[in-house]
Amino acid sequence: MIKEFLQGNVAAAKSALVNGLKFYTGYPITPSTEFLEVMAMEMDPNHFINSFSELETINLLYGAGSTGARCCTATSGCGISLMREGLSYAVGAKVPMVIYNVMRFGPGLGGISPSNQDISMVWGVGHGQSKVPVLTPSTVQEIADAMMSAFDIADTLRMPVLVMVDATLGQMYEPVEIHKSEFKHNKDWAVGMHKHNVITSRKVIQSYKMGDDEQDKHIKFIIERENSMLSVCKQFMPETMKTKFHDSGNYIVAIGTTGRVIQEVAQKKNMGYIVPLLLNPFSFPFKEAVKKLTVVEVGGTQLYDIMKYHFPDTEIKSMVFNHSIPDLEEIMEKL
Amino acid sequence: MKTHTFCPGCGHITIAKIVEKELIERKGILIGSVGCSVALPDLFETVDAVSSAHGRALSVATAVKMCLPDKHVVVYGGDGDLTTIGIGELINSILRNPKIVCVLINNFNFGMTGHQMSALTPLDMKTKTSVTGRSEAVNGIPLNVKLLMQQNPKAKYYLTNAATRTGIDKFKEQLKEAFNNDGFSLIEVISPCPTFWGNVKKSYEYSKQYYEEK
Repeated sequence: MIKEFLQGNVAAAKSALVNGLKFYTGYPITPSTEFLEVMAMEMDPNHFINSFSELETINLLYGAGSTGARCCTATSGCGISLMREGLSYAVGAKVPMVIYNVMRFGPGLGGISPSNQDISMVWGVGHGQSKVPVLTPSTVQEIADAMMSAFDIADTLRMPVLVMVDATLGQMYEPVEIHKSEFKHNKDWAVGMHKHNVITSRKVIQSYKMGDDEQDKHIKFIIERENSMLSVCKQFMPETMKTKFHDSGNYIVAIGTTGRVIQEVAQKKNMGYIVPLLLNPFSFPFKEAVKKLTVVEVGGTQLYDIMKYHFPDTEIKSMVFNHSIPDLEEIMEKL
Repeated sequence: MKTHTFCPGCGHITIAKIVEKELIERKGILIGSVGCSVALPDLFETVDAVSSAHGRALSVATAVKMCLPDKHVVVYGGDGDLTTIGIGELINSILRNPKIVCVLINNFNFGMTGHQMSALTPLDMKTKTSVTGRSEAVNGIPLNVKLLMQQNPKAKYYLTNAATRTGIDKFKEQLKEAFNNDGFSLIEVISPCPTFWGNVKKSYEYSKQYYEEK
């Protein structure tokens, strides 16, 4: 396969197209808009719509996903906030979709420079119990691969999947090979395909169901699905993290572009590193080997909170950069 | 339809049964909304259905229709859902003109949450959030759906009421016609709300009166 020199956002869009995207909708927002523009050029116009807001985007995806069509959108900042009610609905109603979020600075309008400020969505994408898989690639190749995996994960678990990159990675150009997944997914749950007048084969997409024990059954399903997320993600992702073990127990962790910088830092400072490519569900097999962990992130302490949860007995240090992705010297200086 | 949960005398009951019958015959898909009719996706026994977020049914329907162009798609909801929180979706459906049938049950208030003001609540009507009557100065004038529909001459608007035999017969004809239209069709059904308009008798009288005024 020939490598192409593509921008991160464009690679994500092309990967979605190669992997069977049937419906696209989006609303322009920097720094994710290139994804929308690729789709405007490449998609069948009957299956592409420039929505009037991200509120509409997420509900259009909910409709498309209900028919079994592979669907996705790209967004950033304020856009992901507007989508959170709809994402919660998609979690409850078991509607698969992929959301590619290019993280910029916030809160509010914030700015368009890179950040890691939306990753608290690992705790839930909206109201209710709404945890979903969150993929955090760190190279343009990993973006393309993450999009491919995300569709398979979404279809298998029947839920939304988030692919989160920082603005630098979304705008970055690198050589990339777009891979195609060969997995086939059964969509017999989708609306519009059943034989009518046969009650058992009727398809209903809903996050609410009448009946005394329905709520109990529904929540049980959601928790069981959460418990199966890790094994399903592992099944479809080429790798769920990049890591280097170190006997000292001194580790450094970061995601996205910062995750690339810390690999070099770890080499120079003689320590281990963790770059999660799957941030939720996060799983590190040798937690007890991590004695000290430095969490490097842009724009806040969200990764720090996540790592605190996963490494409760480890000494954890937070290293926050607020201007942009830190370079090697900046991290070394603070260590 | 399974045993329904509407209040006795509610206009939804008859209209929903007619919609269900047509959807079964046409193998169509119901897009449900939030409000008094929230349970319809459950109640329509042999119809595929998608239950959507409050105000978003028309967006959901637009995508369903784009993905399944050969299927009939019906959006069913009230004035709280389709014209208040969902007015953005309604305007865009009128402008885009997708081949969707929208049944708007207008009982002039939020019935499900206990009688609050909607975009269609008439001036001077008392609700729990317009306790001395809807005031033009504070709340503005009620939305005129017919005028809104005129933004796009290709979109079709129908008006009927669920309080009279004639109104219900008219709805049956309008629904059949709407299915055969090429673009967006909206049927506004003035519907009695006995629980919040005094009683069944009063609510039917008010429905007829509002229908005639429109």
